Amino acid sequence: MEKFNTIEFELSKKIGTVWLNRPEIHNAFNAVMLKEIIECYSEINKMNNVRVVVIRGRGKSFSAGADLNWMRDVAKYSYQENYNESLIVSECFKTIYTCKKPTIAIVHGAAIGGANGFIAASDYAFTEENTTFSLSEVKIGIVPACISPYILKRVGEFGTKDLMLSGRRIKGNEAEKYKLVNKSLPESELNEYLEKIIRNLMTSGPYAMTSCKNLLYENANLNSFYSSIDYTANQIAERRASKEGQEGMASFLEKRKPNWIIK
Amino acid sequence: MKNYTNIEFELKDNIGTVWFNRPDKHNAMNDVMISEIIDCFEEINNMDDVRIAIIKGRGKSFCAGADLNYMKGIAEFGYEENYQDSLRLAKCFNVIYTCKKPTIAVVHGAAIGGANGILAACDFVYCDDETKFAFSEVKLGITPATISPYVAKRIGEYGARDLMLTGRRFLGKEAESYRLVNKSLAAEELYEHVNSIIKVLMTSGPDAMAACKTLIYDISNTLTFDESINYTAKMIAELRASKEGQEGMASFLEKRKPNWVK
Repeated sequence: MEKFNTIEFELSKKIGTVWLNRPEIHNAFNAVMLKEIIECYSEINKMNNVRVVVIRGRGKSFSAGADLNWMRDVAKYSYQENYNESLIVSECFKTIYTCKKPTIAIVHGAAIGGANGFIAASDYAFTEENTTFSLSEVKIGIVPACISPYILKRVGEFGTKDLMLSGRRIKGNEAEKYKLVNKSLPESELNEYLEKIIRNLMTSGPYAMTSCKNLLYENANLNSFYSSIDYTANQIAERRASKEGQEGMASFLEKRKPNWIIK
Repeated sequence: MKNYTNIEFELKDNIGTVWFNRPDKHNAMNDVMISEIIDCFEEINNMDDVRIAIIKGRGKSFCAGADLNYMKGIAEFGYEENYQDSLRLAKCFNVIYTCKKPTIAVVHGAAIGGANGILAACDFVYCDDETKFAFSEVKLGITPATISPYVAKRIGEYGARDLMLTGRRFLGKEAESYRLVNKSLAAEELYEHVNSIIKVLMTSGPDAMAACKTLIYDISNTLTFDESINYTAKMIAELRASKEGQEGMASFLEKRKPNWVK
């Protein structure tokens, strides 16, 4: 993995952690950071020694969202350039959403505007109770466009309207109630909870998790209800005949641990 | 704005309030009232001095649903007329759902049958804890047809199966737990809560809110996930170059209020 300027990648015990690393400006993102995140997740997809991916922020905040100096200046470029830079934002969230490994966002301090795209696009999001969340784009005359597909998937259409039109600030527990995050915890319990979830994910078959993410992607985004019947039958037919599926079922029947468990 | 006979429109401090005004019938909806609601929301879309639209009911109830005298009577006409009238009902909910301004339903007393289409189609719904809700259509041998798209968006398919097949009565708190309403509050706290939301909405950019509603509509109803990537990039490219977006970002960076905040 290359060295990055605005993020940092750390690998330990098959857990890859992506640190947002512009603490002096609360990890606000610009085009450079987005491109580095895209590159980092693309690499992670190819790394067999990464089983789980965590994204979190250095310093006081998870992320303050888009760097407004960058946002304002981009608008002064030609429309095509402005549009191309906007596409990087969309591509970044999509890269996280389609990551082949399970992804976890650990949120603290503040998650403002676009920061919620990193969170919502991850498979799991856990937050400290005192984190401040806000979809505040309409307060500055813009819209939370690129993050909206992922927020909508988590929060639903009417919860999304509530948070996006008002731009009001909410804390961790309300974010949990809206299902923007999976769980909100006291600061002192967050890391322990994360370790517990990771331990659990480490006992899941790595290929099974990748194909499970694929299954959910296709059912949520591509299949009609009718086409899902045939599609899902194909999926299980393939998985149970696969090497990993055979090993997993054998280990269960033989009352032993499957071979992907790290001793 | 025209004068209406079954509803009343009130404009104050850039807030437009649509009052259901048949208190003697618990604001049950007949053909005249339905046409007036459609007309009123179309007008609101064109009024620059309305930043928020609110729906409330006069008297003891928010709304008792469709006026059954009218429902029974219309079915005795030919199928085509019956169908055209039903289309108007469907349009009534759709015109609220697609209103360009943020919409808030403030619900009290009772919200029966079709009344739930009015509230479910609004962006925000707040009710008094004592409000009685029921999808009682199947009790009368009919179905909650024209309201179902909006109710299902709010409470999901299986929540809809529960409430629509049983037709059972439930109160505000349960409506909140089903997400039919955003929040249920004690009667004495309801207006204060609604006012706090209004205050927050008044600090949002008016064009940005209209664009945000279009965004959520398109992501929810018309675009596939793959299409949403280019669509959302285009939208933010346009909005950040817009007059309101430039003013908003400038005001933030200059630590002053944007020009739409009084």
